[in-house]
Amino acid sequence: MILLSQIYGEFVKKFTLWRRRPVWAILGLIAPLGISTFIIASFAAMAELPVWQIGLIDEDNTVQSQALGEMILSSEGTIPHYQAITGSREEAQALYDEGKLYMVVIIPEGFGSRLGAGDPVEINALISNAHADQTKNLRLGLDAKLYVFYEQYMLPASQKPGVVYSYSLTYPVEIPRAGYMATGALMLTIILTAMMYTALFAALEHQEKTYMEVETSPRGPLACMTGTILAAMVESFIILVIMAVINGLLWHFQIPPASAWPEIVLAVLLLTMIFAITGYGLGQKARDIRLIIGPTMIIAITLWIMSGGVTPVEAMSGAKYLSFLPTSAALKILARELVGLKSIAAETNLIILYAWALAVIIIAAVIALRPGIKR
Amino acid sequence: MEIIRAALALARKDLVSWFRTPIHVLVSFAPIIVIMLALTLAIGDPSTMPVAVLLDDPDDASAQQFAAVVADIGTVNANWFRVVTNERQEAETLFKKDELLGIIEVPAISSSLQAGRTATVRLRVNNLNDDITKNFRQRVQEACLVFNARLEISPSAPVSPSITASFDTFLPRDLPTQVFFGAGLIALAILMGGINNACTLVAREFEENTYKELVLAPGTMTVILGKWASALIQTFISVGIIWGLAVPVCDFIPQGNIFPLLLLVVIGSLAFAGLGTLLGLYFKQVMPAAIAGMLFSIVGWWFGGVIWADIWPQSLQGIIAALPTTYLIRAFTRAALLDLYTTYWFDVGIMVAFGVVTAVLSYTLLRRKIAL
Repeated sequence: MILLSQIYGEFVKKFTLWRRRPVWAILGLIAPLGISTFIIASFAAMAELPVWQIGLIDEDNTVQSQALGEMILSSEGTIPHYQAITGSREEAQALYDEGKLYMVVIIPEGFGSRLGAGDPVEINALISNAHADQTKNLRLGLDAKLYVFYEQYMLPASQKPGVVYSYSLTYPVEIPRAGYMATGALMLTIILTAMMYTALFAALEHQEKTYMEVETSPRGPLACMTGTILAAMVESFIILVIMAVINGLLWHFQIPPASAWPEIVLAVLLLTMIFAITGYGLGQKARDIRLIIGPTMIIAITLWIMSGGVTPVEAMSGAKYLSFLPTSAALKILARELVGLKSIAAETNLIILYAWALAVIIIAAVIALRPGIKR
Repeated sequence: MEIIRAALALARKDLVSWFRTPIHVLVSFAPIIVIMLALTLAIGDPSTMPVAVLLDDPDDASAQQFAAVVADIGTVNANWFRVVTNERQEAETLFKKDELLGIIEVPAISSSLQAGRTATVRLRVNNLNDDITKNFRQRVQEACLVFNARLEISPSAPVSPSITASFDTFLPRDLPTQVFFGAGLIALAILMGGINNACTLVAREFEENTYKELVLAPGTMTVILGKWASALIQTFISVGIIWGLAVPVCDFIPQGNIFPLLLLVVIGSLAFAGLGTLLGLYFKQVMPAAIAGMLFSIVGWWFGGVIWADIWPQSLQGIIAALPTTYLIRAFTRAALLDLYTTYWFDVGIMVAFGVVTAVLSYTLLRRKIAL
């Protein structure tokens, strides 16, 4: 009973401290919101307007080559789309050499006659390979246009069979990358705020020399740790709700059904607790609030990226190992309900979270109950 | 002469103070190291997609050829696909567990083509997001084009039309993304060093209430010269650390002459030290000034250090062109990665102009603040 009232006292103390330091509350909201919105908006802008300026030189000038040229410049099909800014070979070559054009497509002379005769045709492309990801997009983008030309023009015109493809999707609707990333932003908010607040509270106790009083009371360190963690969890939850509303409005989250709320709340609670305990350890070590924000940000952002906050972990090398991070597990549970990735198994990810939570609690309990904390 | 001696004394004092405050030394390069590690970890090998290739008729030679094309295509740096399994049951299990991004089901192509029918490869995509779906579709489209082109030489199948593109590249080998990041991050180190070192040096004088002593200096220009000289040396150190790390972590080895790059370190540091001075004078506290400087640097770097600046959508090009950071990053990345100097002197000119404007503003503001 005494321990419970000690814990409650610590909780009230830390919560009041947080309310009286609005800068901490604002930082907890602005940091994840600013970082994630900046990155999500950048990717969203890239996805919506990816028009590449290219040189398109038609040396054949036949009906077939013109049809191919139109297909390359059409805005149908997958991105990227292309816009021809020159049709002159000399000008295109000069711009390409100066690094101002990233691709020059040349439809060679004889293209139409070869196509008409049913012979294999080839076009040439000068492509800037000064960035592997951009090169990939340019090359696949051009091949995608050629494929559409092949399927819509060449196959029907030749009246011969060929190989085409059809596709089906796991999820009935396409999930925008921005929506997935916004879910990752919620995970970032949880780990950043939980860790930062407990670390700040713990460091402040040392900085203001009040930790001595905590240590002198029986089971004081345990009560202090528990109360601090609980307060940080509640504060993180408040920030998370604000963040969820903002991101939900900006990036269109689905509202989860009532049946999904228990697992969402459980995942959030477990993840918050894991990082609140970790943050407490950091604060105990740092003992100076100036040393908290930098390391916390660094850890949170690194984990956010490694856990699929920007690119789903399934599409990353090392996915097998990264999937076992508590942050990856929580992100998957959130994504399952907020953006509709229903094939994700919530149970497996909850087990991962339980395992991490248990491990962290055991480590924290061993440290907290150890007689005489090293200073 | 007296001005220079006083400026050097001020710079020496600031440098000693900098070295005695490890947190300030760390702040000048630690965030960049984190970005470097995060980027290389997260985007180390993003191009290869784990898939299963299932043949409806495992004995069909053309279907086998298609499967070989799927396993083979890609760039010199990475294959498009990593074929995890050819077993249907295993594929279904892995697909359900999200360990495969897709399943490519290949029909009996030979018999279809011989019967005069077009064969349709069926693709099942784990569409976790629209970017993955787009990449997947485009890669299978390319596989179809490559297969159709190779089919022309197969005597066992009827001739099918085909179209392919032959690519001639600017560089002999595709420049890996992490090498690009390496160059961009060194440019970020110049930016962040120039801004943050200057703003920290100036703001600290106000925060620690030592700015009154600056009144003893023989003029406002002395203070600016002293602060900027110190900031330049600090920036050289932090850029050196990042450059040293970029070699093993990002495989960054500059192409061509190193002197234009060193010139950019000097001009970039000094040009952005002016902005740092203004931030320090405005905030008068190290933390907010440093955070503002860091945010400005990272935003500037994002628009040219992650991908080439002119790739961003047209709607953003106005903002990108207005940012002085764009010119430093462009000049540095082009010179370092492509040995290309077509816009080098123009970019240097913009930086010098920006530096002169911020220097004049710093001089005026500092003169007013400390009433020299």
